[in-house]
Amino acid sequence: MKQSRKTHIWELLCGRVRRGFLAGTLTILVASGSTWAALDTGITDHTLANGLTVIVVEDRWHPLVALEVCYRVGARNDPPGKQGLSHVLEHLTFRQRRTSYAEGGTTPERNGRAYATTDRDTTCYSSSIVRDELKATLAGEAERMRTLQASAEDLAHEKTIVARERQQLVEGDTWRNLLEEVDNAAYRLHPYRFPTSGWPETLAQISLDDVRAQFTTYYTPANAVVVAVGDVQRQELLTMIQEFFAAVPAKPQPRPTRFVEPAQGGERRLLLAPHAAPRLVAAYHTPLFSNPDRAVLEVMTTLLAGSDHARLPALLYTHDLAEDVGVEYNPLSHDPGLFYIKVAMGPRIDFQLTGEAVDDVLWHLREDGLRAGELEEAKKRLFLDFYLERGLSTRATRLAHYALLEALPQAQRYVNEIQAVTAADVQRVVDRYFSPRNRVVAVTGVAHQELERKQTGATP
Amino acid sequence: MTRTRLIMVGLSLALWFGWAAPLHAFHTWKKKILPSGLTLLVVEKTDVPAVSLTLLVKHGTTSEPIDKQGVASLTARLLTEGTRQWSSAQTAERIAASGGEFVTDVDFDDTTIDWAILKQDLGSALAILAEVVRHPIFPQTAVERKRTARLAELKQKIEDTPQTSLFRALFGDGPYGGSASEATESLTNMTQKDVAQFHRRTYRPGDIILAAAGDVTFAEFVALATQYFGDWSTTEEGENTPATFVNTATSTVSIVDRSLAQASLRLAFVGASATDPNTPALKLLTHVLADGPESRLGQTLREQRGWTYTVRGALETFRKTGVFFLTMSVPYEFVLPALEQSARELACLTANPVTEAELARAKQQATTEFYFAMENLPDLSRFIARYEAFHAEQEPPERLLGVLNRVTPTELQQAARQYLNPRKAVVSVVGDRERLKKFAPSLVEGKTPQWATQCGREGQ
Repeated sequence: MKQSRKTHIWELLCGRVRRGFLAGTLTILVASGSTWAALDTGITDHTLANGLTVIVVEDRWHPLVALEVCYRVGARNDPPGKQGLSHVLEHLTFRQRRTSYAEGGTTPERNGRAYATTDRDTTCYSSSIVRDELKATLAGEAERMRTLQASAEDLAHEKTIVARERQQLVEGDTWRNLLEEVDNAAYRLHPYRFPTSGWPETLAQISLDDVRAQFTTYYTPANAVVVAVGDVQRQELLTMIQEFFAAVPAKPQPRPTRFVEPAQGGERRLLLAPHAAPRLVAAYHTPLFSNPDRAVLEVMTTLLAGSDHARLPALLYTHDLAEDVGVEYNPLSHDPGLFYIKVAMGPRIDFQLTGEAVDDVLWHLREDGLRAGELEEAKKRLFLDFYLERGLSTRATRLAHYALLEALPQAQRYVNEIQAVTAADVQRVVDRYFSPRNRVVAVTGVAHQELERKQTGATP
Repeated sequence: MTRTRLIMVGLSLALWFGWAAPLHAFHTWKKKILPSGLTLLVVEKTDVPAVSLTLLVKHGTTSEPIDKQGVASLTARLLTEGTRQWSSAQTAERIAASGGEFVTDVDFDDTTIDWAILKQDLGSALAILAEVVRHPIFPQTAVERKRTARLAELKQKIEDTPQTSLFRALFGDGPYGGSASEATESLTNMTQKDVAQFHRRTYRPGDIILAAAGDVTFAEFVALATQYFGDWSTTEEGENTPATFVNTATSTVSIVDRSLAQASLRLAFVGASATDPNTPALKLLTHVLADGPESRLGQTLREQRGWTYTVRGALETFRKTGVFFLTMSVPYEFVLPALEQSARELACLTANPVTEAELARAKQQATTEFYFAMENLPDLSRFIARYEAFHAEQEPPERLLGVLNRVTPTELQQAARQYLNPRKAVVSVVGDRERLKKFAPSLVEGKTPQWATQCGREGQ
């Protein structure tokens, strides 16, 4: 019996997350074959002459529209030494729209709900509005795409706010702090090792010229996608988009950024914050979005931690080794990402034993395969997740992220991929990716273990 | 409380907002009361083959006998630990086979079970739900195990969160002020008999609402629910919800020592109940004051001064009362200035009516927030169950449309005067005590700030 869970916006953007700590999921598009066709009905896409991709989904259950405008630029595109640039740019473009509002203009932030997010690969502007606001919102978004208005004072202010954001959301959150360290250790060359907020030192290096260059390079129609889901009429919307966005000048596509990351070649271990809450993370390198093993890894999220009775909690809870356990995997990563296993240590704080228990779970999956019915239950849970995350904004975000990967959902293919996963696939994937030499292990709070050993008289 | 407060915020909004928003398809739920008194509610939404169930018992912690604090939560946690027909393992196996999460939640006024399943599993899910709710046997070993686990959780809660002390400060020793330490004390001696008695007196068909949202027709659901719940009757005398509530709040300060990069501040005020006519005005005040950079505190604390990344307002409503929150995270040197500035803004709200433009924006934000809080099937079933629990005997939602839009600036001002008096604010600060001593020594000594009583912004 599970009790309570939380969802935050940033979590939604972090991909598939299982169990306690985080609960958002945006990255899955799976459905049973017989229903997918109906779910896909109404999804249409269109490309303007300047290269802008437009996706429309009509759904009139709510009198609202979720509008998502996303650009293929994120922390991975920050120049060396200027980490945080894409994030600061996002803040500045958002600030520019607000300024217009203060002056009496109409902006996406005026009504409804609006926010912007920068992650490793993308920057997105999300609006949830009533239909009447659509025209003004689209006009504002087109203006955002076309022009950057930022002064030195604006830049200085938003650097401060980005630093505050980092202090609040990363430095004030032990899990995010820990995962940031794991990312930093997992990559040698790839910019996934850097946080989207950068650091105060790198923010200080960002100039107005840097911001303008980033804007000019990446805020282009061909590098963006506009998604509208909800109370819209397709043709009417396309006409509006044509009206506002067609005039945004076409620019060359940014040169594709390809990074090389050398194979890890051996386990990396991190011993962090001895007095923090006792936690353990094991993070394994995974393949690209286009690799068919992605579907197997998605199934593995549920096999390992989809419920209290899944493999990891079943073992760790029974032995009091975990208070909470979860996994996190983002199959929509633009470059190879990580599969995280996260353990909040239980009453029995023993990192060695907990690590061995995690390995034991993986070993049994690889050597013994799955129990009868286990795979079907895992797939059923994936399908349920999809059905239950059908909100307008969730769908808009999901479609935008797929579109930026140039992989507009082909439902039947996804269904087939998930359905085709076999027990043997799971064994193969565990063998291929979940080895010590392919992972980073990080722990915090070892001082608690020492304390407990002293209290109980246990020997290390 | 076992459920995240974030969810409560959305539901609090929904509880009164149901009659304020335009009538749309999802509002048209259907209702039937079985001869036993059990209420059935259905929202038919057939685009995906899934159904979300919420079983709500109209009793939570406020129904606990004064010397049995914690019994509501313990009872809910034990429902699946063995029934007349099945062992704990057998129950868990059946739940796991559905693929969905079986989530229990005990709050002040109610206990809920949320469970989403595929349509094909609806019959078996209702059979399981009926069995665990109607026929739990509370095995002694399970009582002891769950009690131990709950005590450990409460211990952690006392150490980690200011929430319980905050509610005590707001509500004294009344039914909404129960503390974790008192629950710990009574749980220590709680017996199987106590749990069984609480179950008999509160889990009664007349006090239960069973709501479904998703791919099920009203007729189908009534037939299935009748099959599994139709013969449920009880002769046990019911539990009476405490009839009185006294607002005893006086301004207090609590400090939770934690190593954070910034201090996390929360101001709390006693608010209005779910059905109080002032609740819509209070909800709008959360948007006027602290919803995004354009709100009053967003402007002064973030945009003008750069002290915080975000400041948020929230409203929670209960059967007899409610809580109004302001939260923000600021560097230590700005803790006192941020609190003082917040008090000034509150003083301005009581001194002058808000502008029509501000009010219009707040109404639009609240409307949008409501719709987007109801996006997914689990949100829907939970919403209709809680709405019914609080509003069953009142006008149907469509008769109450427009309440929100009729709120005037004067009503907002009156609500601010009545509820948001800084001199009654309960302040909690989470942060590094040593740094707080340096920058806000008076708070560490437990002294409340010298709140501004005059409208007028610093430096103006």
